[in-house]
Amino acid sequence: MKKISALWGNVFKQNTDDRSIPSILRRIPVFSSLSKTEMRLIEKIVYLRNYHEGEVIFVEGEPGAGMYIIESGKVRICLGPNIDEEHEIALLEQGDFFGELALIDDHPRSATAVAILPTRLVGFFRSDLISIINRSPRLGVKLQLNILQILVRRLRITDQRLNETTESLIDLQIKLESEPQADRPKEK
Amino acid sequence: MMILSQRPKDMPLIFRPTFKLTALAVMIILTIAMLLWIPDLLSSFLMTIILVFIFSPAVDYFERHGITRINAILLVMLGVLLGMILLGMLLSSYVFGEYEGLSSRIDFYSSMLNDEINRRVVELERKFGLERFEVGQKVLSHFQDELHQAVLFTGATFGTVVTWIALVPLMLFFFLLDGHLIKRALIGFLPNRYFEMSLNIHEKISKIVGNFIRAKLIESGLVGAISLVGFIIIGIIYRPLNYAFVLALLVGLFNIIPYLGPLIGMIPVLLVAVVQYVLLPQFPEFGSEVQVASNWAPVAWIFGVVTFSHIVDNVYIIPVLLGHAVNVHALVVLLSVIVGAKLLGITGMIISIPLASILQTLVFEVADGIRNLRH
Repeated sequence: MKKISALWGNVFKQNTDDRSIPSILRRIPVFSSLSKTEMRLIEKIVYLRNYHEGEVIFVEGEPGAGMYIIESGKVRICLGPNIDEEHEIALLEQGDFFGELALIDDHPRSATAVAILPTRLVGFFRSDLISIINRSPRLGVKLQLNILQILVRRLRITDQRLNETTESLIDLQIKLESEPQADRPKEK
Repeated sequence: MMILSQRPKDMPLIFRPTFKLTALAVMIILTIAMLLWIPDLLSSFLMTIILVFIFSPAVDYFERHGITRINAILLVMLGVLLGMILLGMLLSSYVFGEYEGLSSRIDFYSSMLNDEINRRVVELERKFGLERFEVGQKVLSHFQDELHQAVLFTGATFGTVVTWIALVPLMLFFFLLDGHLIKRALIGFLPNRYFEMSLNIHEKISKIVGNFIRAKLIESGLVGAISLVGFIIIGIIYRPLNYAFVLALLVGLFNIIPYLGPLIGMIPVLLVAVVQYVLLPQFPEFGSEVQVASNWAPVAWIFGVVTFSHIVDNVYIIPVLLGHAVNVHALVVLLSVIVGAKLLGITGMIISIPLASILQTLVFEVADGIRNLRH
């Protein structure tokens, strides 16, 4: 991963070569604590989608429907309508996941996702999560708790980065104030 | 710079959006053709869709309490069957007797009313020296036919009912059991570009339409119950209204149709009331050997009770039950009722409303989804 975004980067990555759907799902924090029986139920619910190179998975601003897990291929996450490397905020690979915020609500997507290689994704969607909550509350609670843990972890990372940025800004301000007036660039 | 929507030429045929869309369109066309070709399959299919929305929460409830889905479905279906048998045993002699009586008498009732109106027309003719009112005659004759159909539910013929009994439980079972697989298979055929949009639309439609159908059912039950209580009270004060249970059932059932339903439901009630209390108060069928004078008061009270049930419905029941559900536009109601009546008679009129709500939600959500895609 070139750059890590607290929201889009995979901060949960584990390395393994097993590419079967249950093993891929098990490596994702959302499904990590599920039993074999529960995992079989999830396997029946998830969607398998194939994307060709350069095909858009979702576009920034569109209502989100759920999360994706990369079974094979690579996905670029970009801000804005341009999907070139310059606008990339994260590059995701096999076993990575993205879009999990859409499991909570249909708020518009905050970035665009595009497959940069022939890519196979496993999709898990909000309507299915709601159906699980209605039909099997125990499993629903497990999934919700796992999603909550992901969000908390991302929030902590964001908080930490915000603190670092604030500290850097304060340092910069102090530095600027300590510099002689004459050395400062003139405002136009 | 890479731009959105690039598409390589060497992509396998089955993954190409055009192939997927064509395959889906062919499947939909074949399904519609099959539904229209095989008699009563369409009405069975539509009935099943409505019942799936009604029974899903009950099945989910049992599944939530640890019963497997298949057993939960069997439990609900057996429960409904047992309930129908028990209700049938308890009320069959009363309700079916009433229904049979009303069905056999409805022509007599409407001809009584017809004769009465004719008599009044002749009186007017004599009084004012007018020519015979032919148009009025035709309208009355047409009204008589329509009313006969309304009460007998001729839209649902014996053959249709047999098909429903044979097909609907079977389709209901499989739709409740494998509904998500059907949805998954259909959505799987959509190109990636429309995949998320379809999931969002399906989620919204299921929620909105499910709420609408369940709320309508409860609403109609309450309106029918209020009318029945009113009829019983009036019956105690004056004389029991004939076919009170079936008439209250009709008031509730027709209430499913917005705007027009309350008016249609009022017709058989007023007809029976006018004939019973005003035109033929001494008729032996009504159990009164004694001569009873014509009385408009119970008719007025019955009219008041039905009107009151609709006022309660509009002021209290609808805002609570249907406040957040979809509001079917008046024009959509009118068109769907006409089409429903043409295809399946009175049954078609009633089931057309939930179907119209599905169609309206589908159109709005698809338009919304396409708008979002463009942005």
